[in-house]
Amino acid sequence: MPRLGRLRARKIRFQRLTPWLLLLPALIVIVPLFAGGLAAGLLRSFNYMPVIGLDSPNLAAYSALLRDDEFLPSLLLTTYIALTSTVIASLLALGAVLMIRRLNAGRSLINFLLQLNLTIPHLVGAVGIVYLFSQSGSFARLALHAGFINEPQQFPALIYDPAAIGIILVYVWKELPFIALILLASLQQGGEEFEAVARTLGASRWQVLRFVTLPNLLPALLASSMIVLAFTFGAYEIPALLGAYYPAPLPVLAYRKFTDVDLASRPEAIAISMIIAVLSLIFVLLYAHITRRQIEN
Amino acid sequence: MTTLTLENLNLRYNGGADHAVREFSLHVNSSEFITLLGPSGCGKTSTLKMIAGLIAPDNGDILFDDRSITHLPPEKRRAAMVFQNHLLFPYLTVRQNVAFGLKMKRVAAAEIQRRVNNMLDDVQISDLADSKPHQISGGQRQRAALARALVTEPQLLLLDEPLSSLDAHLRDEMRNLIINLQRQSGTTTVMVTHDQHEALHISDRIALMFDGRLGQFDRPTALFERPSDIATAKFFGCQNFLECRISGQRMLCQFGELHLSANSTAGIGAASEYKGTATFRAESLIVNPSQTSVNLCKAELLNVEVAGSYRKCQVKITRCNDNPVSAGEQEPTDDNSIIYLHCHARDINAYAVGDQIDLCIPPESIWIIPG
Amino acid sequence: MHTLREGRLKTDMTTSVHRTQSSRQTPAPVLLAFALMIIWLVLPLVPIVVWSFAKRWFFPDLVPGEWSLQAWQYLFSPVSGLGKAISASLAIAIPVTLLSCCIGIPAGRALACYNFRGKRAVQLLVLAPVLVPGIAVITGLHGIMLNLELNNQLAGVIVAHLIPALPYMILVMASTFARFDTEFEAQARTLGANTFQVFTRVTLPAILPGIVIGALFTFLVSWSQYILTLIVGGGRVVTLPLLLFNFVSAGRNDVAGALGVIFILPGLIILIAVARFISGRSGIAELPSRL
Repeated sequence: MPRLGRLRARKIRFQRLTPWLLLLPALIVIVPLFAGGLAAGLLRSFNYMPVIGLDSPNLAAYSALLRDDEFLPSLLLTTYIALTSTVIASLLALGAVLMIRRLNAGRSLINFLLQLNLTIPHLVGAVGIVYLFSQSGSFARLALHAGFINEPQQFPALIYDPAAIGIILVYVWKELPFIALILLASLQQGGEEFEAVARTLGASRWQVLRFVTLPNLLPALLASSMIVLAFTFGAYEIPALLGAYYPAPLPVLAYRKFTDVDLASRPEAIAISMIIAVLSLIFVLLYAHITRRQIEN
Repeated sequence: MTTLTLENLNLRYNGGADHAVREFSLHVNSSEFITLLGPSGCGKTSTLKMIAGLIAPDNGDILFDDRSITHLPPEKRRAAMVFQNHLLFPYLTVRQNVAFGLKMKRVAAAEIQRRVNNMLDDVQISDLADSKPHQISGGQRQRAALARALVTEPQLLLLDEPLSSLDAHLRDEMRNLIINLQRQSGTTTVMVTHDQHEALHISDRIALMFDGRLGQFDRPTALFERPSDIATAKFFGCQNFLECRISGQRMLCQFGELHLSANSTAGIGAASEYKGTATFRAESLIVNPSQTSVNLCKAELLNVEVAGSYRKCQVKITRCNDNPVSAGEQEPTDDNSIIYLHCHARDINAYAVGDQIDLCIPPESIWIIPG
Repeated sequence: MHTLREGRLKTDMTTSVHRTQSSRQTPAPVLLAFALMIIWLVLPLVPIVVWSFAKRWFFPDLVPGEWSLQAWQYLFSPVSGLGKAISASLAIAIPVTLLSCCIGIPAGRALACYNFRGKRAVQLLVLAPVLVPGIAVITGLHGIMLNLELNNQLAGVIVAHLIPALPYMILVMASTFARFDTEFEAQARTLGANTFQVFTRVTLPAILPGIVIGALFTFLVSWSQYILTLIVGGGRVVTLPLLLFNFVSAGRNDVAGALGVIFILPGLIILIAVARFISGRSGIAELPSRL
């Protein structure tokens, strides 16, 4: 009997370990690379590297950033780009979804195009936007043929411009389908029955939209917005390709400082990375919070 | 209160040739509680949704109080629906859920407050008013869903399998609550269910549906005791069917001649001689009857199945009304000479399989289905 | 028969709930919005394709003055670097995908089928690398990789790509396993299957579509990666997106157009191959896609 008891105890202990054994390889990869990378960056941004003799952490990199003329404008520009892109993409996606569900035909075509867009790298979208919206792009050519402008310079600067319109256009183009697909999936999970019951309780079409459809979609909309915010705040290649030189958005500024011949600006680059990391982690936590509450409901 | 009339409703699947509902006509009296009863896929929920306005019929007319409302959108019909899976809005509290319909009609806040409180009292969930739906039990959710529909004082209450998601003990409670609230408010009610016991217990009248068509529409006892066709009889659990020729108060079948009662032929016209199907419930047979009874039979016990204090048996009739069973107009075969017998254990415990027993088929238990 | 009917009726009803008498026809504004949306989704791809076949396309011509295959001919000549870039991209994306599968499948199962203390923390740890921008992690990691002599070579880039790719695969597998009932495994055990047979005969067939979709999209995550390759590869590892970026910066619109077409081909092929699996509730659409 005692032997059996011990065996069973061992078995239970083993079962408790099973998920951790299954996770072990993944954790061995993710923890050092992701958490380790962030931790190393954090230490480096505080100038704390005992290996090479830097053993008194300080805020030099961060104060250098604050003294840098470009940093604050860059932070503001990045915030502006991220917020504007996210809000526009969310609202358009919401409108698109409400439109798509009223279609009797053509749903599968639009579904395919939304998914196609999901597979296209941001970089390609950026190239397409340049060809469309630059001062020698397709729209400028159309404007000239329509007689609105006489030469390319008269076409409004939408690419490499201080208002970052080109960057925002790429983000809207790429993120709208992403949010729309998430909203469509959320609608499929019983949303239509809630609308039916509201109609039998006397709600008109508009009241159903206002009191049932939108509240039902809100968690999915907020959650996907968090993902888009985190991405638009820290993506490099789109602002690098379409942004103005000064002020550069934060990721571009970070890369520039990181690859500067003056190695002294590396801690500043890493400090910028840490700011991006902290903000995007906040968005991740918000996303996790929203989706968790949604699952509970 | 409101009457409901359905006239020749038709609904096709995706506009194709197959009908989900076919030529469906029905009249429901004011304050009546009727049930659409049928196997799953028979079109009963589609019919309910057409009444609610959630599906448009391909043709036919729906009238509330003799006024056609077929072209009204659902919110103008005042036909509140309770769905099988409660469908309480997850982001609203119980109180806000119940207030939903009144808020849509822009009822004054104080009035909403008063009516919602009364309603929550009626369904006995006042103490849960400020909980979210995921915090309360399944039975409480269904009560809240019922309250949400009734508080709007609808012309028509539509219930789509409101009990099927509940455990057995909660089901009785909820069923009584529905009956009480319906009597109290006098709201004309249409319920959909596939559960015959539920339907028999709760309804004033039951409309049977098979394959998109209306079957018998009658009071529960009538459906049970006087089915108009074989499908209805089978649906309510009749197992014994004898093809027969009727003449006067007698019928001739594979067992020979059997006596009928005056009630047996109430389902048919005045013709003196015709063909029909005789049916009698397995539990109406009498074991060891007094020798003065009519329709006395001898039978061989083939098989006994224990069902609590009852026994479900199959017997093979060998003699009927003192004639050996070959005298009928049909040769009896192994198949058609077997009938089903349900009786109390004490009546049959003395016998073993293979024994011969005495039986009586009481004439008043036989019901003749024409055709 | 009845279940078939019900299934058909259900799809019918979900579409007809909103189809009361007044709205059987799609209203004109909706049709207009539909057309605009389709145009907007496809529009940026049009000039990319057109440029790849343009010889001369001067302002303000609406279509190229002269068509040619010179961009394609240039790309497929040895000087363009296309061959090297494609092989670098594949030499990175394929190992990344295989590693992600091997490591991600068990991890996805752990997250979907077990309850354990610390699960929520692990879920966050898996979610974060998919969503946190690459530059935030890689600038700090760069120093460590320098010490391990992983920078400026394929191996280092492979390791770096695992940061977004592996967690992505884990999320797909977790959502796949969440829809798999482990009772099937218990059932098979009671019917006499051993652990190995249970895996190959029961579990694997059930999760295979999830694995295939997860692997293909993980491949795309690596295939599209830019900043991680740029920083860890240090200019020595030139993948397809880096080459594309160079041609765009250099103003070679025709070559960039052709390269853009090549760059999006795998995604297009993959999408057409798996479109019927990822429509609807499969869960892939809900996953954060970061390409």
